[in-house]
Amino acid sequence: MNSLTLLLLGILLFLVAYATYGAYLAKHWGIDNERKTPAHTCRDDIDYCPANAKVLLGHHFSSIAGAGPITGPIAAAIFGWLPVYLWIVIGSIFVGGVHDWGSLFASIRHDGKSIGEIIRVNIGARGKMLFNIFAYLTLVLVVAAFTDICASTFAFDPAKPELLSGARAGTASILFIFLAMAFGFFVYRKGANLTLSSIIGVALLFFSIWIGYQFPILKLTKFEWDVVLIVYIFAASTMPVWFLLQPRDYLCSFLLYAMLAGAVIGILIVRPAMAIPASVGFTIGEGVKAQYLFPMLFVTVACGAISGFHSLVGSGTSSKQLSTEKDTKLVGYGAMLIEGILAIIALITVGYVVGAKGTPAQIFAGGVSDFMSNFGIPVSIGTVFVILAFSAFALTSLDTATRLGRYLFQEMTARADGKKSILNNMYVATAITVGLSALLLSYGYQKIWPIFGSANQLLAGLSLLAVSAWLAKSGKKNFMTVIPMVFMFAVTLTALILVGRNNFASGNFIIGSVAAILFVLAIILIVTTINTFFGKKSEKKNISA
Amino acid sequence: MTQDEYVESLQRKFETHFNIENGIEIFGEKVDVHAKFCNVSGRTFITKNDVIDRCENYEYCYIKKVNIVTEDVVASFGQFLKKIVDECIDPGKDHMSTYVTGVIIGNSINENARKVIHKYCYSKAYSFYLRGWCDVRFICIGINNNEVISNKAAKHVQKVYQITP
Repeated sequence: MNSLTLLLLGILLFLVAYATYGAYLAKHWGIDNERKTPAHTCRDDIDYCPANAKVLLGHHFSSIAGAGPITGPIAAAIFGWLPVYLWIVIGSIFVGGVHDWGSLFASIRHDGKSIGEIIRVNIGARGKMLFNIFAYLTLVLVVAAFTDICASTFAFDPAKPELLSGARAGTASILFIFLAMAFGFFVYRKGANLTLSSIIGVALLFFSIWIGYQFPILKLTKFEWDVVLIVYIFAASTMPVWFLLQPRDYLCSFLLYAMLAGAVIGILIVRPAMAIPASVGFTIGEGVKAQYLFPMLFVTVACGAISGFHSLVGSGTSSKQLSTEKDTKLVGYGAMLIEGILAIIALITVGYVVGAKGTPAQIFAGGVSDFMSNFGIPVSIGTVFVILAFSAFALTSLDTATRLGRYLFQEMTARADGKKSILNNMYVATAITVGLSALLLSYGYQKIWPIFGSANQLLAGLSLLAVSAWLAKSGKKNFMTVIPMVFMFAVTLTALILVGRNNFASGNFIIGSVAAILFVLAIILIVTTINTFFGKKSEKKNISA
Repeated sequence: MTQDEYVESLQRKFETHFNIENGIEIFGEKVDVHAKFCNVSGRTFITKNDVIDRCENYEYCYIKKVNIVTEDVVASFGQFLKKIVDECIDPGKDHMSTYVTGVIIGNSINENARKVIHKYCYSKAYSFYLRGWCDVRFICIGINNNEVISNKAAKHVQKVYQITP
């Protein structure tokens, strides 16, 4: 199968779904363009302020997209490209898109409160604590997974001194961090012109790639990179956001656009054939190492098809800035479908570089740089560029996840009398969060990712549950959210059982225990949320439209 | 335009985003208008109360009317602004920037006073910028000649203070 066909077919299906299924959902959910949104009814020109839908789409997409849509499809390609492709397309249209749009629409009808907020406010103190523990463990897994991926990607193997792409990308990444800090200093502190600074910043960004390519001085082992990254995460997540995170994210957006443009143009020129098998059956491996298509595919490809964190994290501003209810379709549904396209590109890449070994970042970089070589960019430089782009996203995810983890830990350990405790200290909470993640590093991202995916998908299931309950109580059809919800709960719980069983059987007790704890929490949270929205007490709760 | 009309027009510009006080005395210095601005931005997780990170930006504006802006008036007001920075600014962990803006409105501006204003410079970085910074902006308005002069830090806000009929 030619990958260009897959990409174009995917885009076509997304466009058709947007026009048809999107219109169907809009009709049955009662999207009312005449109804005033919170941006107008609660307008304060600070949080609540109507904005252009296309601008909001850009902001929303950049806040939900990260390294996840790339990592998932590459890791799941062991099942063959066809099931992954089908899950990305069907998942984005009928599950992820519905989840994101439904959450945004429900938020609009609740004065701009996010669906996560609606759940957490309604589930009471005990449920809130369980929710915090669940989210905290998920974040610890995210930090461990992305730290491992980055360290493995940057690692230099003295036994293979000719392989320098990791050292080159690692050197460029460190330069990029200092560049971002300098950029922030000049723009914020010195008041430098943003347009001019951006042009110089992007030029220096590519210069840092060249420096890394020419002088790969950071030839560190995987363990050494683990240590460097742990120190980095600790520092970055305790620094003021404007000091590093904001300028780095800003410069990083240019990397994303350049990388996406390079990949799409490359695919259009090369039209590569999918060299991996379409399908390899339902089961891969045997015994405790067995991987089953159901549920593992659906937890491995999380962000490219559905992600619970989309309804929790993000700018938190979209629903407060949508000018009309009609715009929820473009921002909620549209952004998820665009993320689906990114996931298809990642799948095409892994399908093209058959037999490639390494981390998802290395595989993705190998494929995209090969595509880009067809319009004059040398493969070795292209590889450094793509790894840098991927790692920049991963480092952003790490920073945000650590900040979130620290916040949740501080909240969970806060004293009832309001007095400060040592565990409540920002640095202690960060150290504990990063330390717990470091404990998991030895297991590698391959073992961690499925548990993270399961936890992420459970959050999606809970959001779908809340949206379903709200639709039902509003007298609207809700099968479009109920079916994905049941499916996501089935996937999540089955995956946690399998991952727990396999890890206990392999002697990986820490990771097996995490899976077991998450499973118990998942059951309690599902029951609590069902009771909240469908139980007798729910009549008192304000979940009506 | 008279001084009072100009102050009134400035207050109209400020009132959307600033809290305004009139006729106050700080550190023995009488100030005709004191305007305070605070902007807090950041990201939250799930609810608005769950703040993951935030940064705070402040501006304090002190407006004083005099007849003629002389070297002595500028020097004294400059010292007052420095005292505000040294004794009133207490940057917390989320602090990013504070601008202390001093505005002297006179009917005319003495030549020596212009030189002092142009050369005036006072800024502070807190904990190697980890707790942000503070800059003093010094602006002088000459009503009779419709002129606005400022120190370097206030250069890009000069247009806010242009005298418009």
